[in-house]
Amino acid sequence: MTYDALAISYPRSNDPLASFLTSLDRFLVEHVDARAIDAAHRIPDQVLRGLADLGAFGVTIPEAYGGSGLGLLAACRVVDVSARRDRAVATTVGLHLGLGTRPLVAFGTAAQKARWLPELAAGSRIAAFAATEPGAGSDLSRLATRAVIDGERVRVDGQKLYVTNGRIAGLYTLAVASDLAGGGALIVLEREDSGLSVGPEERKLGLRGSSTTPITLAGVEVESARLIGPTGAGAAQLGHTLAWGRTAMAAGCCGTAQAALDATLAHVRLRHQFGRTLAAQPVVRAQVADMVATLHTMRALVVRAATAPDAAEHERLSLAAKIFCSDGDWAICDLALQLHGGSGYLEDTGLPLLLRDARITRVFEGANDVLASRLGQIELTAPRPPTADLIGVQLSERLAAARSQGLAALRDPVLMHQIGHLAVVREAAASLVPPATAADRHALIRLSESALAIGARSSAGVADLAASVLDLESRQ
Amino acid sequence: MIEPSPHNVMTTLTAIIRKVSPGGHKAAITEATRLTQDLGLDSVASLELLSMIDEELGLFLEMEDVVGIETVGGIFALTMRRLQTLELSA
Repeated sequence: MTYDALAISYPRSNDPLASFLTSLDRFLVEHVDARAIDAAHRIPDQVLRGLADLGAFGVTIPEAYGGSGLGLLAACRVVDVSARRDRAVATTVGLHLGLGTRPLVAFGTAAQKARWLPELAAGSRIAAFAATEPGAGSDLSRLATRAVIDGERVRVDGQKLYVTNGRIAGLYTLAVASDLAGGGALIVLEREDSGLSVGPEERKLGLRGSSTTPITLAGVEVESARLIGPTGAGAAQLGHTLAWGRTAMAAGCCGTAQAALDATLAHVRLRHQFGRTLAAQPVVRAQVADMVATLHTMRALVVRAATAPDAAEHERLSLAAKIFCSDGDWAICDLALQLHGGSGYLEDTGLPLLLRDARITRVFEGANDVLASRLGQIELTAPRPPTADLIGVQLSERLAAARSQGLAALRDPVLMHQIGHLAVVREAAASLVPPATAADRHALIRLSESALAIGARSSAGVADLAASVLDLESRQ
Repeated sequence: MIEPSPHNVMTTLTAIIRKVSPGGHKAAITEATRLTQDLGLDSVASLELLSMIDEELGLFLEMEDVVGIETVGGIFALTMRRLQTLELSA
């Protein structure tokens, strides 16, 4: 049986994207050299122009503005295919399709859309999204960058960190604090706006071809029509946008994991040890099966998140997809390196690049542990119907323990974290039910084992050790 | 625990709300202020706010006590009720 990498978990017939994805993949194979991009710390201009010519930057922008008018699932598949060839390219395109343009597409006024979407669809203006600040990382309720509205004008002052696409962007959507009802707002700034300055490129462990810079806003004064959509809707806009971004990012994890799996399959079929190929050895076979099952689950969860029926469900599933896919990406890349033996540690195999690129996904767009605690809180306040399987039993036990604490349970981050991780496993498993393939069945067994391990995690002794290590200074 | 006068309770609620709401919420906070539309809190953040009030005032609230509260006035009424109950049982 031929292993069809791109077919896993995505539609196989009557697929309107099939032709575009084939062209995109061909372009990436022919024109993108991931290791050269990593070494140069930038994507060549001709690659960005080629992607723009293909229409990659307009996939999710309405046809009326020159895009293809497709939805989040299409964006996910573009990011997945791109990440299989190079994660920096996938991050650049994915950020543009997700966090970068989604606020304007979803909430922009007709005038805002007419002004910016045509250039964004054509890729002549690339989008960035700026939320993180020196004092606000995963906690966006503490933004210090402020939009002060004075009639028809808005003044913006502050600093943003880790802005993906920062150097190459022509348009920045910023999450800012404001005096509007709701306290927060999204505002569009252009590269040319006086007072907006882009800082130097950050030097990173991975994703080196993807631009990451700080930006500084020093007395930026623009018309108040730059505020996106109706005033006072900032929190809801931000929530929707972040859920889009998390889902697209999870799809990128699938692409990188796919590249690691591709390399592993090629290696284990050729490499001989102890008189036979690695592929013929039972322990290796089990590990490869784990990789395939995990990747299969990742894609199935991305599909569910990208097609969630409403905002609440999209938030829940996007959190689960982001956590599960970034953890899965890391685990698959790590196992791929392991199965390559000593050669996997060498840059020439491409495995170190995949591993370096994968690492940040557990951190950015919300650190996984913070997101897991958030998912735990959602699970506690809006629980899903309980299930009688092993995962459901583990989750029900933790939820019962939380409810016995009353509202104070929301302030128990360790318990929320544990419930959140069990909810991730539950959502991953729900993506495979009813099991139809060997990959479904294999993955469900692994997920049940995972739930058991999370549920069995004890906090006994942790507090004492943590206190002895972390509070040492205060006792001296 | 604070003296449960309406003024003290509203002052405490206002201080906690300013601490947790996005951007610090500079506008006036009244009983009519809505948690979602005016303060920008989603359902979980609303419950976190109630949880902080629970902790600050020692109310011992159950999840069922707080579901459906949509305004600062709703929080105020619940808090006053709960404080008076605590006082009676003390």
